[in-house]
Amino acid sequence: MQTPADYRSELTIAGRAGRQGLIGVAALIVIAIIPWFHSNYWISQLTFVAIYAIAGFGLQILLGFAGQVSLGQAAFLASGAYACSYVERLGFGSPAGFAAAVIVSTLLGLLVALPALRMAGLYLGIATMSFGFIIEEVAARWSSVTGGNAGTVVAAIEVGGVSLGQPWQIYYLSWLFCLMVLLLSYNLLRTPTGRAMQAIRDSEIAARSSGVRVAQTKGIAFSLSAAFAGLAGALYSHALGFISPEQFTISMSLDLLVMILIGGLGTLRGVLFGAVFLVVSPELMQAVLGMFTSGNTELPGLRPLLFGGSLILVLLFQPDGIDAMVSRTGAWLIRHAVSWRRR
Amino acid sequence: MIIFLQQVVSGAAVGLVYALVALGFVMIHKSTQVFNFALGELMMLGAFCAYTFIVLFALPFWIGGILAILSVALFGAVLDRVLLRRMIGNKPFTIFMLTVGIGFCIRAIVMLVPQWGTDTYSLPSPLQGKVLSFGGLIVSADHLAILLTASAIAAALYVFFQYTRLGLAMRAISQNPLSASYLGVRVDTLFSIVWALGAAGAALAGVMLAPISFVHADMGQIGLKAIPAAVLGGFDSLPGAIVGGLVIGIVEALAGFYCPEGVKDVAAYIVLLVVLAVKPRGLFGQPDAKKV
Amino acid sequence: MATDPALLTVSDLALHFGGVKAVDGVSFSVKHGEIFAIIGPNGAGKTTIFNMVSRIYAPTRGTIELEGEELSLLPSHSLPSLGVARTFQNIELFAGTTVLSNILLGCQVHRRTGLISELLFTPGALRQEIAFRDRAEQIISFLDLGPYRHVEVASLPYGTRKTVELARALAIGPKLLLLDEPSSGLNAEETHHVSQLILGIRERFKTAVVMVEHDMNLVNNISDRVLALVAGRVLAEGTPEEIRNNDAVKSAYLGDG
Repeated sequence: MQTPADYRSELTIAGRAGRQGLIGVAALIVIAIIPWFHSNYWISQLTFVAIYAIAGFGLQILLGFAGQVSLGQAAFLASGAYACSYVERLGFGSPAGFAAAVIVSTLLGLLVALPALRMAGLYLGIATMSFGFIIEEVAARWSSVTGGNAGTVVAAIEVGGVSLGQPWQIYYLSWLFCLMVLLLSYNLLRTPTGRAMQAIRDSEIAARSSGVRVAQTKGIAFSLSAAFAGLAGALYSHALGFISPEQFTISMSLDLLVMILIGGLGTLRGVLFGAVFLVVSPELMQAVLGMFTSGNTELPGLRPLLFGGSLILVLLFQPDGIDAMVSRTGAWLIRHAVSWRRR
Repeated sequence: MIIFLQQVVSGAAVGLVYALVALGFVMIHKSTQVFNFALGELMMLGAFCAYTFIVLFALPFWIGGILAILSVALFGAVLDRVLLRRMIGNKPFTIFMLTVGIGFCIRAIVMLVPQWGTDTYSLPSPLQGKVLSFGGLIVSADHLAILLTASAIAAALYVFFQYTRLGLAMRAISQNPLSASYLGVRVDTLFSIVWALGAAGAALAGVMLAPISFVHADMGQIGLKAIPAAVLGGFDSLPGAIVGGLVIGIVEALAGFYCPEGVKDVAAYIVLLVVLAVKPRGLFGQPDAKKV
Repeated sequence: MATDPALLTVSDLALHFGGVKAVDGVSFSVKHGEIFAIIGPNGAGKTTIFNMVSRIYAPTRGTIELEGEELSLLPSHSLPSLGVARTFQNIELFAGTTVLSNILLGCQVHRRTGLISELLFTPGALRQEIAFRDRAEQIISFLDLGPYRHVEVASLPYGTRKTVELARALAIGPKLLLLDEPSSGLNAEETHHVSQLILGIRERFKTAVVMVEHDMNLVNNISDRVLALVAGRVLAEGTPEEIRNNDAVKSAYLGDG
């Protein structure tokens, strides 16, 4: 029988160092040194990977862990972006702006959670989709706060008088927040609240009979996912320098959904894989097309084709996403590495 | 009062277009338990096919329209045969995401076809510009055509489901596909027929809507408004979908006239949220009971 | 010596809906540590009573008292903290996770941490996780689930899944265990194993067990008392021998002549 000392090594991050830890550290190093070697364009693209990952972790908690279908996450990115820019425009500085983004989005998430408690599956998805459309329209009409359809320019991040407007600065800030959110999500998974969410996803009635307060847990799932999306929205507004209602459409909500499905539903690694896919694969496709045709490779239909096609392929052949593919490849490599050594 | 009625009539016409797409959602969901998110894009595809046949190939409106509907219906059946068939037994959410992917691809293909792309095209109907007057109430001939056609289709569908063998078979598979197949019903063929019918309905909606809203790659969004219409009716009721469509269309038209700017665009969704808040399973929905 | 107060007292329990009287005035009581079986043909109302005691349904009439505390108005999620756990006829496991994870969910009721300390994984949260894991391991070893610890429950055989559901219920540390058809779907050997398990649980944890059962061998072998139902009403109550020899029971269940 295992002793408490054994559990400690399974439960803590330090204890689980091993192989996954090395890869994690390597990834951290890569992330840290990228700005030294790449153009501003790529720094910006990789900043968006972090930002989408933050929103993705939120959606993963809501959908992957708690099983609640949300087709309207863009609404929370919008509320975060607009709250942040409004507070900053009023002169309160970026820390207050970011705090406002998280608080406003969390409250909005709670608002959505209330009626959502009574809905499931199809109807919940449709309700959240409708909510997304309504928020989009609010953003277009509430000109005094949002600048209406024309959008609003977003000034550089300002912390205590220091301006952090350089691409590399936003890059590091975004990745810092991303790692923080990853850690919070990881902690959620290994503690009672995260297990309660997964229990609700798998069998609400058994969860209830085992003592889970379903309403409260769903409320936490909605709030956390909205909070993370709000943070992502605030970062997004600064990364882009400009926000308008056209950015926070159902398209964005669907992109996030496609992202975590392709990456791997229900896993944390999957969110990162999905975010990388979302940002990098269109670039790859452009590059490949550029090699074969001398014509215009900026065709607007290519992105939806890439995402739609990849989603269909993943759902048909590898429903557990890139995460599962990586695990299988890793296991295969290890088996063959071991047999190689034996020769 | 006249103005009010005016709005109601034109709203009803648009509402019946929504109803046609809503019928597609409901038919497919009722029979196959799939929420086909790509239906909006199928509507758009119908409009583009009609544009191609009527404007580019210079065919008469009615012939071009029917060809467009048949093409999209065939496409719908092919989608079922090739893609949906492989997903039988998967969780509803997974199948739903497949239809999301299909929707993306349809939209992408439309944007990539050289003659189509991202421009907006006009598709004039033979009734363009003509109006009829009913004692002060002016109704555009287009709207009247929509009202009459959609009503006829709705009546035909009712007769089909209630009185024909095929319709009976489709109702059987929606209740219990396994038993139906034991009784000799060709369930997979029926699934393809249901998809074809749903796609045809959406395509017809696209053809009828095109003269009013023009043909462009973002038309699918209009199709999404049919979802509130379907939910209003309970998502498993065909008459409910029609009533839902009418309600949404009329509310939208009235909102456009009496409410501040922008409310019209989201009126359908506001109505939906209000209905779901009171009845989380739609106006006529059935509660989902699980036996433990 | 005062009489041993009952653990669970059900009085005049009834559930009517739409003219159907699924349960019509049922009363019984269960002592601490007692193994109590509810039997009857299909439709007699056994599982309905179960679902009322575990608060899935609200009774139309009657009271359910656990050590004096009225249960019939409480939400079902508050039962584990009062010491009541149940299993389900159709096995309701958390199919997306491992055996260990399912059992850890049963430990939920002993949770002392709040959301913030969990998100930050404070030393207190870590200590709680270790304590939960300890508790789960004890149950895993008691039920011989060791090899399946990290296996996804969806891939396990039926009998093992039933055991995992039992493990999850035990993690709650219940005074009263409600087992809905513990032997359904099991062969004779597995059923014998289950009967030994139930006796072992009662001995080790001093848990009272109320079970709905069809398998009369199981009922006769391990029950202290039996409640026989028919058409939502009590037909007879007594020891297994008394019920076996009861004429009314025999004619109701086996038919006349």
